[in-house]
Amino acid sequence: MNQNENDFVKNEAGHIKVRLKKTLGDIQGCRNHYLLEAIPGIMPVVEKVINEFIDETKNSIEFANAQEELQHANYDQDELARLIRQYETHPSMQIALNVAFVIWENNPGTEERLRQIVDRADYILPGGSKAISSSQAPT
Amino acid sequence: MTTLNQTKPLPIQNDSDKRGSHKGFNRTSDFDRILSFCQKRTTLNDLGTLDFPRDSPNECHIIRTRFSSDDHESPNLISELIILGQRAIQSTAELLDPCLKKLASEYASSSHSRRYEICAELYHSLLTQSQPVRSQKELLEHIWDDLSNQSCNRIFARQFTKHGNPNCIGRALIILAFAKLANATVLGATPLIPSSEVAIRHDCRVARRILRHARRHKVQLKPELISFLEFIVTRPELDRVRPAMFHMGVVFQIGSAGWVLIDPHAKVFGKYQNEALISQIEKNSIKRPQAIFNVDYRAETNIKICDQFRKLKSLTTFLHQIQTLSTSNECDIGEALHAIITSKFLEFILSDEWNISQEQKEKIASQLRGVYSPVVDELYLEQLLGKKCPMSTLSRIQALLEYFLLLDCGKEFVGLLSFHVSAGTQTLRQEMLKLSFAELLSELIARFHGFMFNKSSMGNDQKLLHPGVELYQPEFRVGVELISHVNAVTLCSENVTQKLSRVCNGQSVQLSTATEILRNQKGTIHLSSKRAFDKLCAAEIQSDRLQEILNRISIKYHTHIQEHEIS
Repeated sequence: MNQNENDFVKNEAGHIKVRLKKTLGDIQGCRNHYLLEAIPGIMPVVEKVINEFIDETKNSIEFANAQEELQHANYDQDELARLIRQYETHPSMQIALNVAFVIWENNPGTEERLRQIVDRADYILPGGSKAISSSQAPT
Repeated sequence: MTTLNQTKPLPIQNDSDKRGSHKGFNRTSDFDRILSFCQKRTTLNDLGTLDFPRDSPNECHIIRTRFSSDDHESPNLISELIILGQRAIQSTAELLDPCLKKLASEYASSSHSRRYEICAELYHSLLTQSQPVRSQKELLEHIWDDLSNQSCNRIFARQFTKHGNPNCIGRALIILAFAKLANATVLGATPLIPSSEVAIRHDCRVARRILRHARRHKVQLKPELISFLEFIVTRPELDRVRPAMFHMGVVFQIGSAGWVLIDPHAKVFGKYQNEALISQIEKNSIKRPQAIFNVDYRAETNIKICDQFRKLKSLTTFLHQIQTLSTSNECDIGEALHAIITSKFLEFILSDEWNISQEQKEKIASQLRGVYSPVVDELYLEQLLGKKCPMSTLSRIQALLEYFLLLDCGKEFVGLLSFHVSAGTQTLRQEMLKLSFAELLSELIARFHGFMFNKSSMGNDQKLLHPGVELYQPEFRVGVELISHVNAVTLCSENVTQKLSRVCNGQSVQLSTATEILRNQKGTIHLSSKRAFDKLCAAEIQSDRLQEILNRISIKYHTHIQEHEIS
């Protein structure tokens, strides 16, 4: 990597971090923004900064509180919005709530994944379903 | 990452003002924007290299004149969707892999049987590779991935080379492009009941029978086999709640009355018995390119399912024989071994995929088949078997014992057989041998339950065809589904789904409109959504998934009616 590329990555990483903080941890929104910007080579930088941002938030004092609050609220999307409003004067807690929700959303339990799938049946669906085959039984 | 989060609409630039040719049409802006998006992505870089009809100013008019006089529904919209479909096929043909182009040129001059082989090659080259599933968690992740990983890159040929992995529409476009180049007649084929639904239901019944058989005969199955079979038993319920997404394959005419279904994304390939019906539909569809014809092949599928159950029955008979052997007090070891090698055991050994290498199994199997010079180690058993057997049988028994050696409890049994003892301890040895043999048979009986499932299941049978299908001229439906797909992953506009449902009777299109009743938060029910719901309820062929979603709509609809009656 030459000096120019290094400067570019450093500069953009700073911008991405600021965007994540300003949007109170809107990770998917950040991804979508840079995807549509279509700057060559930017996506790996975005993913790296997002991972650092998640790690940093996970180490914060607010994160454990946020997880507890979300557990009480059964990880409901509307409840998340209510909690975000409730902590209006506490941006670190708002970030922690958003990040905790994203982490949970990406690693849901079986029951939760099933609920997400059933809910999705109400949506306007894209085409493209594939057959999912079973493996052979162990003998 | 090449996919976008489809739950959040992405902006599509409104450039309808740049398309002068569409000014005369009275469309909603959402539809215009999506149409423009699709047109851009189906534009060829180098026009004129292929001998297809082009998108000319008169083309809409030409296509409109093809409709029969009773078509009053939005002929302009229909013709434009057909043109979009043609453009998509055309641009896919332009970008087709050179090997497939070569195969297409060979196809035209080939014999009937060679054409079938070419179709098989085409199928295998496009076959979607996916990891098989063994548990509920794995299955749900696969379904989620299928739902959320459907970016526009998977339906436009220009993106295939960059991002790869076309979905079923993308793969159907490749087959349709191939057909154009090969000058072959084709129809689009969308399952009303997918073959997977029938296979999953069949496998569930097989798994339930096997578990019941094991319980009844007190067979100790391995924990991993129990959890696998229990997962298979619950799979139809999971499949039922899987969202009903559009799917497309292609039926390919390989002779005057010969048709082959090619559906690589559903892992289905083969010929229906009643091919004359497809020929008739093809004739009828020429004058009505927007028409959808429902075909019921459930009787053909049922025959295949019955054949598989017969297979299960014959295997169960063999299992009973081994079980009788294991519980017999008078069991002679030599006779028992002989009984096993003359049974279906060879088939079992070859299919057994559990921990034993293929090479070892092949060696054992070839000696069991009666290969003259032994290919597995000799175990010096003549004395122990009392020299009653001919050499050929002895050689086979040696192979069988070689197999037993690979099983944990088999080692003890073979050890006891080979161990020379004095006359005084012979009785004790015989007792230990019988005990050990009974243990070995229990192990084999338990393993055989997994083998029975693998032999009788239908989950991986690529020749099980869809029992109910919609057949149609492909161009129109391709146009509809490109718009529908892009709408689903970008704007999620209800106007677009309603507009499409007015001109296309395809089940997936009607379903998108009917589910608006579930999405609608305003407490009103649109007439178009209700009409689509009624149409689907009246459909003769309904998949489990469709029934599931119709039940949910029905509950919401009746709750809505009751609330309005009360108020």
